[in-house]
This record gives sequence, C-alpha cells and structure tokens, in this order.
Amino acid sequence: MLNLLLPRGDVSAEPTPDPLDELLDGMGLGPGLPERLIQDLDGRPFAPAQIDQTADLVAHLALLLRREPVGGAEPQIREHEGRIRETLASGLTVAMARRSDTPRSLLTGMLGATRTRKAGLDAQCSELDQRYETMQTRLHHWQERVGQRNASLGRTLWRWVVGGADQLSLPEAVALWNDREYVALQRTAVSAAQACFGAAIESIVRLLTHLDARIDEARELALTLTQQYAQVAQPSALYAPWTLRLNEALIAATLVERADLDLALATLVRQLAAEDAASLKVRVQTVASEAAERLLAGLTISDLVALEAEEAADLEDDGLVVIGQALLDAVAHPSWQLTRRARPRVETVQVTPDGTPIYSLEGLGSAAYGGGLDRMGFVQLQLDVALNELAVMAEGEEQFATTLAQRNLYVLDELAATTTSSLPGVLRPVPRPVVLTTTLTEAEV
Amino acid sequence: MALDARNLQRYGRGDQAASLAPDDPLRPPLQRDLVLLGVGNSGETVALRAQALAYSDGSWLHVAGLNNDRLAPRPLTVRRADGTCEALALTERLVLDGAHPRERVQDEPLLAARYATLLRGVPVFETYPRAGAGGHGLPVISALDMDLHLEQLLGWLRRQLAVFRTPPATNGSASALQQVVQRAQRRADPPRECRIIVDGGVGGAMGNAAHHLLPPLIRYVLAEQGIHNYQLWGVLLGPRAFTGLTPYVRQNTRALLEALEQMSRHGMHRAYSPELVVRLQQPPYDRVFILDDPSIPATGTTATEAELECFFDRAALSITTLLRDSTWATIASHIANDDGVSREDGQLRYLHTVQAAIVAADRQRLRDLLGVTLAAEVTNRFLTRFAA
Repeated sequence: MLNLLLPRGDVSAEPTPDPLDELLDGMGLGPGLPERLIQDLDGRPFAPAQIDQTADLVAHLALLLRREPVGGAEPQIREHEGRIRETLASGLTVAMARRSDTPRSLLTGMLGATRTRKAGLDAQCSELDQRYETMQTRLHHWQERVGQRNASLGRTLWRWVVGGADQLSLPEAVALWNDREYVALQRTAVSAAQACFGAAIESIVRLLTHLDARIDEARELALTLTQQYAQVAQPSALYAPWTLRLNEALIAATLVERADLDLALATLVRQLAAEDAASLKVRVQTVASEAAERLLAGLTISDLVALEAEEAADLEDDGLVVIGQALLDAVAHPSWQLTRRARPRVETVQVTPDGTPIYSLEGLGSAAYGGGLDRMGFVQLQLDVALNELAVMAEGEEQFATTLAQRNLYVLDELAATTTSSLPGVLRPVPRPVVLTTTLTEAEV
Repeated sequence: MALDARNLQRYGRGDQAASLAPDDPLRPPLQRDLVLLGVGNSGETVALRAQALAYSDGSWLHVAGLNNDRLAPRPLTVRRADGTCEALALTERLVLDGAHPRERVQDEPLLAARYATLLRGVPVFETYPRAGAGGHGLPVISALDMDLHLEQLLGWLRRQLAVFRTPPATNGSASALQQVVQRAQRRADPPRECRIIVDGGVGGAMGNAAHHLLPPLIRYVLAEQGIHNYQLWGVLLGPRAFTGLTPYVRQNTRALLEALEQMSRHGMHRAYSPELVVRLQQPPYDRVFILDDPSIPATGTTATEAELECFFDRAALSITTLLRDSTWATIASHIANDDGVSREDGQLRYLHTVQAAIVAADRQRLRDLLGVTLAAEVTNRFLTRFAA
C-alpha cells in the first residue's frame, strides 16, 4: 500500500544498472558467484552426500562417525575458480581497452565495487564458519558419546536412539550430519569466490600502481618506434634485381588496417598485469610480432601481389592478372637480335613457389622456383636458331672483312691460318721482337 | 661522357656492409651439382650476381672468376641467416697476371709459332702493357695470357670442379649407425647430373678468348676426375649490350661465333702446350645461350653504366631462374623429343636465349615493417587510452 504513495515513475521504472556492476557481472564476479561455482557445466548444482533417515542407520554408522565432511565438490570448484580467474583477467583488460571512460577512473571505480562485493562475501563466509563450527562441535560431541557406548550399552542405548537431556538422538545426528555437508559445500564455494575477488583486486591495484610508469615508458617507446620505422622503411640495400619488387611498406600499411588492434591492446594490458617484470617495450614487441605473424600466415606471393595491386587503384580487372601480363611482356623483351627470317621455337613456363599454376594460358607450362620462397614469374626460352639467323652474322660482313684484312680476329689457329693465307699480300713473316737487355749498375739497383 | 655534378649523390648503404668471411658458418648449404665460372669482367659480374641471388634464395652457388684484369666485381649486399647484412665479394678468382705477355711468347716455340699468326696486324703499342690489366678488347691477348698460365689455369679448374666430389654435409648429431644408413641411401640415389656454366662477354677480350679455350680444358679436367655425367653450358653475353665499349665488339663476336660453329661441326684439336694436346670430337658447349639486349644503347653510340647494370641484373636473374628447382627440368621435358639441333637444311640450330621476369617479396622486410608499424599502433592506442 505504501507503494501507492510513491511517484508513479519511481515505481514502474527499472532501476538503472550500474555500469561497473554490469562490468563485474560480465567478468564473472557477480553476486551469485558461489552458487555458480558449485554448478556443473549444464548448470546443475552439486548434490552433497546425504544419509537417508529411513534407511538402516546402523549400516551408515561408519559415515555418521566421520569427523570431517565427505565433500566431493572441491575439484569442480577449483576448476571453475581457475576458469573464472582467467576470464577475469581478460575481461578486465578488454574493459580497459574498449570502455570510453579513462582507465584510471575505471580501475578506481572497479576497485571500489570489487571490494564492496568481496566484503559481502567475507561476511557470508564468517557466518558460515560460525555455523560450521557449531555443527562440528555438536556432531563431534555426539560421535564421542557413541564411541563410549560399549561400556554401558544397556543404559545408553535408549538415549542413543531417542536422545534426551543434552544428547542428540540418532535422527537428529543424521540431520545435523546432512546439514554439515551443505554448509561445508557453501563454505568451500564462498571461499573460492573470495579468492576470485581477491585476485581481481590484486590485478587492479597492480595496474593502478604501474600505470604512470608504463605511460612514461610508452611515450619513450613511441619515439623509438618512429625512429625505428624510418630506419626499416629506408630503401633496402640488399641485392634484389627482380623485374618487379613488391612495396613492403605499402603492404604492411594495408595489413595493419586488417589487424584487430583492440585485441592486441587487450593482450598487452593483460600481459602487463602479469606478475613478471618484462618491460613495456618487450611486451609491445611480442604482441606486435605475434599479430604480424597472424596477419602474414597463409599469405602467398600471389596474395601479396594481389593485395598491393588492388591497393594501387580501383582495378576493374584482377590485379594479379595485370601483374602477370606485365611480367609476360617483360619476358618477351628481346634478349638477342635475329634476322627477319629467323623463327625461333619458344617455350614459356610460369614459375611459382611450389610449381602449382597461378595463371592459365594455352601452351603455358608451370615449374617450381622452390624453397618456399616469395617469388613468381615467367621464364621464356627461345631455341632452334642457327648461326646465320643472328643479326650480328648477317650484318656488317663487309666491315668484318675489312678489319680482318688489317688484323687477325680469330683465336683458333686454323681459322686464323685459313684467313691469313686467303688474304693477298698479308702473309708475311712476323719479325722476332728485339729483346733489349740492359745492364744496370750497382748504384742504379 | 660529360658528368652533371648536380646529380651527385651518396652511394648506397650496401657498400658499407662488412665483407662476408669465406668460412662464414651461416653460409647457406652448397649447391653441389652446379658450378658457375664467370670469365672476363662482365662474366665475373654476372656470376657474382647469380651467386648473390642464390644466396638470398638460401643456397650457396659455387662461383669462380677468371680474368686478366685485377679489378674484381663490386661486392653485393646479402642478408645472412641471422638477419645481418654482409657484402658478398667474388673471392674465388684467378687473375692471369705477370710480365708483358707478348715478350714472354718467344720463350715457347709452340706459342711463338701460333701467335706469329694470331697477332697479325696487332700493333705492339696496342698490346703493351696488357697483362693484369685486361685484354683491352683483344681476345688474342687474353688467349695468350691463358696459354702462358696454362698450369695455373688447370689447377684453378681442378679446384673449382672438385666441388662435384664434395660429400654432402652430414648431420653432426647423427650416430655412427645413422651415418652408415645415410651413406647407403646416397649410394642408392640416382647419379646426379653436374652442370658447369661458363658465362662471359663476347665482344671483349677475356670472355671471348675463354669461350674458345676453356670448354675443352673443362672437359679434359672432368675426364681426369672421372666425371662423365655432366652438362657444359656456355652463356654468351652481348654483343649489343657492350656497344661502343671496345673498338671491335661486333667483329670479336662474329669471330667467336664462327669459331663455336667450327668447333661444333668439327670438334677441336689444339696443342695447349707440347705436353697437352686436346683432340675432342665434342662441341665446345652442350648448350649455348646468348643473352643480349638489342635496345642498348637507347641513345648515343655507347652503352651507359646504368644500361649495363640493368643488363647484368637481367642476365643473372635469367640464369638463376632457369637453374632453380624444376624450371630447367620442365622446359627440358618439353623440348626433349626435338631440341632442334639438326635440320634438313644442314644448319646446326644449337643457339638458345633465355629471359626471366620475376616478382618477389622480401618477407623478412615485410615482417619487420609490419612488426614496427603494429608496435607503434598498439603503443599509440595504449597512450590514447591510458594517458588520457
């Protein structure tokens, strides 16, 4: 009835969820964490061991006399705890990388909210501890009395069964035993949840502590990387006489646009939150080189060619085909000078890293460049050409004859001798050179 | 050629790289079935470039140079396995050096008689002094250098061709038993066909002379070493690419081509020395490749330095690509049934040319650039988020 006195809007409006609470819930640090820890993967809660009151209780005497609970959920809880801790770390870093509020205010807010939730768990835990201790005391007392029953069996049997005075009856002990299993289960779950919140608080505190130092380090690193890029981007001095050479800087710039930089940043922050003291530079380089490997994995030379060709212009044609045509034109560039009547036989093959064809053309074979290298192109062999089909043989015959009349041009004796003997008036004995011998005086030496 | 001082720039960083030690432990594994002999300045230049290409492709191509010019080709920068850059130089060279060869020729009657004919019309002034400074466009002078240094030349060839007998590198951690198994496997492997490639210019002196005189000596040394399963290829560079560089480029080329045709038809009979007379009923080369660029010179009457550089690069790329993995095997299978050597018109059609065009990426550089760019992006995001 009192609700009727409240303004209508306040009654009907859903309470606006706190973004930090939502964030913590999303990271698995919700208020129901202890309950979730005891659930299996299908969401079924763990059922603790229980003794049936209607069964033959004497048969369960050994169980009833256990001083510690049977339990059984611990491995499952530990597994869940580990999983939540992992999710928690990545959730924290993704939140920092993606949320619009500044990381310092986010971290401070999260620290407060996490501490509040942990405080609730601490209270719950101490209440459970108290209940558990009381239960244990009563049950242990009963168990000790039962242990002494043999001494005066006739007198105590009655009290053992029906209770009385300050002593538990058998059914009461069974009920207490069953409750102890439930409380023990809750204690384990709440304790694991406390550990999860504790780990989150530690990570947040560590991040806040190192934030300023990391920012200074990052500013310095940004300058270093600018210089490093200028150095790496300089034209390579390596010997590389390729017909066409890919522009690695352009390809790198294109590939960077495809990179998930949010994920890379989140990975970096997660690594920075880790306990080892590697520098930001090392962390950034590791994250960047892993991201680079992911981007380059599976990219073949033809992919790289297509990537750069398509970046160059809005091509209507396939960029890879355009580059192939340019390479084919290049192999057709004359590499000797033939007479017009020469008809050389031509064999052209495409050369690809493993011999798998990239292009299709009638009469075009395919061969492997090998070595898993980033090379592709064409080789053209021309053959079936005779000596007199070379332009150098067909042209300049007169000039050759004139020179030959003046001096020998041949290295082979028989050609030189034949030519020499056929030239009128040139076959003359070559005079022996005069060997000059001089005697140097000792002073000159 | 007039130099425009306004275009003067610093030379590339590559020259500052430290030289690669001959016993560098990071040297890639040796390609044991291939030897490339670069003769003359252009031959050595192309050979070194082919070696640098093979290096960047992860294999060590055995390359050696033969010249009568002391100037070695410019070293090239390559990346070692650990990512450092080093200068690769042609260290395995034989330079035919010494006293003025035309004076020494009289010491040996065989050479005196031969060069009385071969030096017909060549003025003494033109050839003095030439030893150790190149043949200056006169193949006969380089042939004389080779004849005068025959013992050195044979020793050099024996060392280079001994690569074919180099046992494959064994795994150091293999046990004695595993080594026995590996040796047995190697014996069971089909015999490897070795390839020897001689590359050299056709228009100058040393390359031209070597294309005449070296193939018979290579066959002689291979026979001496018991190597019979091999292919000997000649790569003839020019002549158009060397237009205007020496006075008789086209004449020297024509004379060489005529000689190769002569030897391809009739074999070779030559007394290299009184003790070494080679009689071969074999062509000088099993395959002859001519690599030239008819578009040189683009302007003027002399090939420019830039045009030559470009030509050498293309030649090296074409040779190495042809020799990569299954390239030659694929082409050879296409031409196996009819490689066109003999035709009804009686002409020998043994001349080839090859041209390769390759697009390549430097993945290490790409990885470095991508890594630095991503690192900068992540750092900037970190600062945007945390320093706000």
